[in-house]
Amino acid sequence: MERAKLYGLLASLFRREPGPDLLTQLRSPGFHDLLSETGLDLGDEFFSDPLDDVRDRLQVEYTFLFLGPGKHISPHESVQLKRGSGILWGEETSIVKQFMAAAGFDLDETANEIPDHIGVELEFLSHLSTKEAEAWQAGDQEAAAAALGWQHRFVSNNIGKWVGRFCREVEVAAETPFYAEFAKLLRTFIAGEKSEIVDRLAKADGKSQRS
Amino acid sequence: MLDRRSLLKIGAAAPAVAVSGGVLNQVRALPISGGKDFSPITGMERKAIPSACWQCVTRCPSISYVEDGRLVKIEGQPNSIRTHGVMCSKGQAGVNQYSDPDRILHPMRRVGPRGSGQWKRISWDEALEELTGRLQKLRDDGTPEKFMFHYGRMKASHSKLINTFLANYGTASKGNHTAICEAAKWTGQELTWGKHYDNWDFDNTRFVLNFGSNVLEAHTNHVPSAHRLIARITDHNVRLVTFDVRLSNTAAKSSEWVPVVPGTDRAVVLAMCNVIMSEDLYKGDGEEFLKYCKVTANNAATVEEKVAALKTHLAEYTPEWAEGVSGVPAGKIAEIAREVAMAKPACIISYRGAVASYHGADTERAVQMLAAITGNIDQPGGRCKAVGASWKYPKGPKDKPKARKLKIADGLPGAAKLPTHHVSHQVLKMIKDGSHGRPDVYMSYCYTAVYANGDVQENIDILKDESLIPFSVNVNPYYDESAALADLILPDTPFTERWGWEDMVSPAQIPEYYIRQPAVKPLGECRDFADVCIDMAERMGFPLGYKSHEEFVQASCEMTPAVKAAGGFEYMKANGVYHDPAAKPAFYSYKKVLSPEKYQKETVVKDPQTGTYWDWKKAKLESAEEALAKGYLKTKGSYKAYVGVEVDGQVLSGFKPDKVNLSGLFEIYSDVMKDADLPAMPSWTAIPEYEAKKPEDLILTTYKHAAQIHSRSANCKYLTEVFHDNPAWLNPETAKTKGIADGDAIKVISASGELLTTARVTPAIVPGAIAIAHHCGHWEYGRYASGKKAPLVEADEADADRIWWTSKGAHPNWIIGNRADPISGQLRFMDTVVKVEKA
Amino acid sequence: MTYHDRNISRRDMVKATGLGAAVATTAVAAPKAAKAVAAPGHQAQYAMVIDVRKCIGCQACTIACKTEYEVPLGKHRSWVEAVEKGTYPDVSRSFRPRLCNQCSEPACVPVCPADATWKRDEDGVVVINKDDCIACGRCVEACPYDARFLNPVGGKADKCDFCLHRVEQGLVPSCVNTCQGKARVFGDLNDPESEVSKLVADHPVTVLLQETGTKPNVYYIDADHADPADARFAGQYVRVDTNRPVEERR
Repeated sequence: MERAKLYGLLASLFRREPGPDLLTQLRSPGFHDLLSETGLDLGDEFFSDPLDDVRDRLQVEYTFLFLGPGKHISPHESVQLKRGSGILWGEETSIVKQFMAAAGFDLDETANEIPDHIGVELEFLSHLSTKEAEAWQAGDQEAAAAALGWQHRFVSNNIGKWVGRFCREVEVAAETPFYAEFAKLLRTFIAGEKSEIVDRLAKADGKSQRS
Repeated sequence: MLDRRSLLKIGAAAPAVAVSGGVLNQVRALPISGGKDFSPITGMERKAIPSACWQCVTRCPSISYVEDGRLVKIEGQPNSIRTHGVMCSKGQAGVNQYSDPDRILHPMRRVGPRGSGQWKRISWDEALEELTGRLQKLRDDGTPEKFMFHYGRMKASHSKLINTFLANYGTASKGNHTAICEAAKWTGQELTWGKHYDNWDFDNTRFVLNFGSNVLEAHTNHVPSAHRLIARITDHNVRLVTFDVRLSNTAAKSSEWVPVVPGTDRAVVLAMCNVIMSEDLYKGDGEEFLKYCKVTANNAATVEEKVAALKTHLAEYTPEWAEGVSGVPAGKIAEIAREVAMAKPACIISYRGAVASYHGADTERAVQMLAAITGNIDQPGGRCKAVGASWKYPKGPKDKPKARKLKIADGLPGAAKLPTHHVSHQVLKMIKDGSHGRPDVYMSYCYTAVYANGDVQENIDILKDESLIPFSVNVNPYYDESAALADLILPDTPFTERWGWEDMVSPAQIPEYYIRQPAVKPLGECRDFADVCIDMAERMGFPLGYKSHEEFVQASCEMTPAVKAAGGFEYMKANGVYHDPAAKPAFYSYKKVLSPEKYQKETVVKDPQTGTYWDWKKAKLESAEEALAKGYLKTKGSYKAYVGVEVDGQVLSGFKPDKVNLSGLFEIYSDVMKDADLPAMPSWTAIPEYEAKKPEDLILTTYKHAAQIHSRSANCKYLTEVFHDNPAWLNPETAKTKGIADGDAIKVISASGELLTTARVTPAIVPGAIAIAHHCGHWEYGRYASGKKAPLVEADEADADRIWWTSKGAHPNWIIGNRADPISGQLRFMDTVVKVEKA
Repeated sequence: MTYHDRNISRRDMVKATGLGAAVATTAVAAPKAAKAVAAPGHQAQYAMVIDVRKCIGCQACTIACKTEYEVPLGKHRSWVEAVEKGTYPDVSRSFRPRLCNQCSEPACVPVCPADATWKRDEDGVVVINKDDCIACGRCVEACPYDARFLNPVGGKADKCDFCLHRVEQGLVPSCVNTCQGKARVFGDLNDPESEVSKLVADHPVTVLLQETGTKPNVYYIDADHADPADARFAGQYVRVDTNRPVEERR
């Protein structure tokens, strides 16, 4: 379930500016220690400055990085994908939307989200990871294999193809450690997932064949 | 990605399809034009949604094609009588507006100093709370006029709906943009034949005489006019003669290009009138039409007296004289004058090339005079009164507050005497001046005030200054030069995601009704500003009576008789366009004889001086006696009370006035002009800057390219790929005197500043002039327009990496002053005196 | 939550792999394609006649093509050249729309080492099978008209194919559909009753680089083929604008 949660956290962080609740959790001593262990440094100001100041700063930084004008590092697969269409709501976006639908997820029509936004893609992986974890818990290898199959395809054909570059751009362009560090985390995590999913898939397949 | 050929292989392997005997015919059958499209990748039919373009003001009916929920293609609407299904480059590039990766998808609030580029995303609720909070306060304080609304492209249902909002809020502080387009033309027309807008009936014409219109590249009714003109030229051997500073594509397709010194077309037109009158070539249709004209102070003058007055007035404007002013050989002027007089009918056309200059409104009047004395007004094949759809629509709440306004729309004192379309380019100057008050909230919509007007630096300085403009809101789908200087950006939808009904002029002289439908739902949090107005009205407690722009369009479809009869909203959604198949083209509207009940009413009197019938009650007077005592011309706004005019003992509908008090006759002699100390008859008035010009100085003129809109399309990657650089055109003879060679870097210096650009040395321009195109030199507006993007983006984002052009061109407005035609207020884009040197 | 769970069916799974789309396509596209192919005894030669007198240089065709195929920046299946020449005030500007000539003796076909491009028997259109294309670029080099390119999206050779996907559905190519002057006319040259056949019969027509022996099937009426290189030699002014990254046309 930890993978699902991590995906969930990253989805929240990249979808929109963090709200006070999320920030409070992130600034808790426990989380601070956890980050230190992982080697992520969000900077002292993040923990010591008044909450509203931090929130304000991150709102401006988020807009600067992801919404434009500023750096405007597009958080959309169709714009970022190398040798892709380079346009908003491009062919890649439709493919992502269809893929998600096939995996059993419909985009909430009221949410005004574009399906290939980094935040939405991460949320998708979070849901799939939850399914996978539940399947393992229930001992249902077939279901685990199915959830892993979707993850595998999505990471290899979609998010894995562009998120590395996206994160590196963020790491360089960010003016405070917050997004730079989480971008690094995201990049490392997805890179690891690429191979780990394959391993888990092999495990699930093997088990399901045996059973 | 699927490959089509593999798909077809699957098709080939599929069970055999019975092929009937009709196959050969199918192959030979003429392929269908338009209305359908298929994906080149999957072969699947794309979903077709009838809609309307809004890249430029022509607003052609269109079809949006949607594949997998995304807009992929825009084509013309094959059932449109305006366009016959063809569409220009700009319209088709509408897909680029939709998928621009630099689109603004969320409301944004400035956080750093104004113009510093620091923003944060806010929610619509936060944005509108703040905005309506400020607006509500101004309203509560009794100063709603301190909310100023400055718009660029706002027409038809958008205009009606947004104006309803403004009126119910209580502000009349509005700025438009017409003075950078063709205000001089409209004022010239309002002074001669009333309501502005001329339609050119190319379908029926035998000769086209063109002064400064680049109709084949850019025009307010571009595609509907252009495709007709080229067909007429090539299929019917109609001659087109173009007077232009430069070999525009229109000039290039003309039978003859006649180069003319910038800003001097009027001299040529006057000399042509001279030839026609002195050689008695007006006889026939021209003479007949003079019956409906006012040519002297006396509205009741006989045709003989009118002819005499014209001959007297025009006597000094000989072709030889005009040659001295315009550089056009006298013989050529006389030859074309004779040709236009003989060709029946002839269509005499004019546009910015001829009118966006000193006394441009008088140039339009001169062109109107030429069309009048050759009998080419409002008849088949001539210059006609425009016809468009007349929609009925929900008018909003009955009780409106009396709107208040800041008098800052008409320019600095003395800028223009008859600014019937306002002096938009001086609005910012007026705000700086402050003597007529300043807005607390300045909102601009579909308008890039910084870039589109002259004196760019001054515009920037004023918009940046928080002491002059305390709160600045920009409604925009893109981050352009004006958005960069706002405090709050409201993300508008591009036209691809909007509703609307449309009414643009039909060159068929038969009205066409059409609607715009969103191809897809708005991306991100973008909202059609019309919907935002409905929302704001509700928040401030004066609901407009409809919940959305869509509902407004639906109601209009059901209220408009012609559309209702066709099947209302559902019909329009399915078909997009409607015209009455039984309708006949409308010509000679002025000749309509009024029924007696129209003018024998108690409230209607005949003005003895003008022969005009007018309704004193509508003119807000107390009685017939008061009306007769004051007189039609001396009563403010009496044109709104116009009923008809007497000609030869009959009361006719005549030329219904608009904006100024006209008699209802076609006014070649203008009382309004005379009262304003301007020439009563179309006349030559020397251009002051030319008088002071040194022999080595050049005249800067501007133009538009076929693949760009004036200032709002450079974000469209496919258009900017075609046209992204605008080296200045110089005649080889001119270039030689300055030691300038093709491709050299040059400096262009005017009273407003200096511009660095490169030279394109070409014989396609008159000596002594320099021509620089609009559209280029953006410093915002996203990656394709300005090259502005994150440094790292270049390496990684797919399409940004493919931008192959290195120059973005130079924007001439940095050195063009916001100088007004002293008649209309038109920005003088075509007659700036400059020095040019090698840089 | 942005996403709602819903039941997954096998149909959805198939759709996600893209196969579903292919199956659906077959139903729509194949019969029509079969018709065009299967006409007994009739081999078509699709062709275009461009009446340059009617071309106003509006670039509508360029953008129609760009949007139809989402052609990446810097690459063109179709474009328009402007030829400006003369001495003031006798100056002309003539436009020349360009596209693949669908040659009867195509220079691009024999050089392909993968047999990935050929001229179709049924309609004479030169096509590319992207599955077989190895992106070696030889066809791009071989084409004397610069009509081919390696598409940065997908990496394979690409060019105009007369919008076969439209033509097979009974539609004219996208550039023809939108042409303001109706300068571009499309049809079957092997059908004497077709408009293209009549235009070619009734007008003096030219083709590009006739001397190369490629036998183009795109014909021009009244085109100005003035060459800036020749003009420079003769001290005359001729300028060709292409609006493409390549400076000189071929």
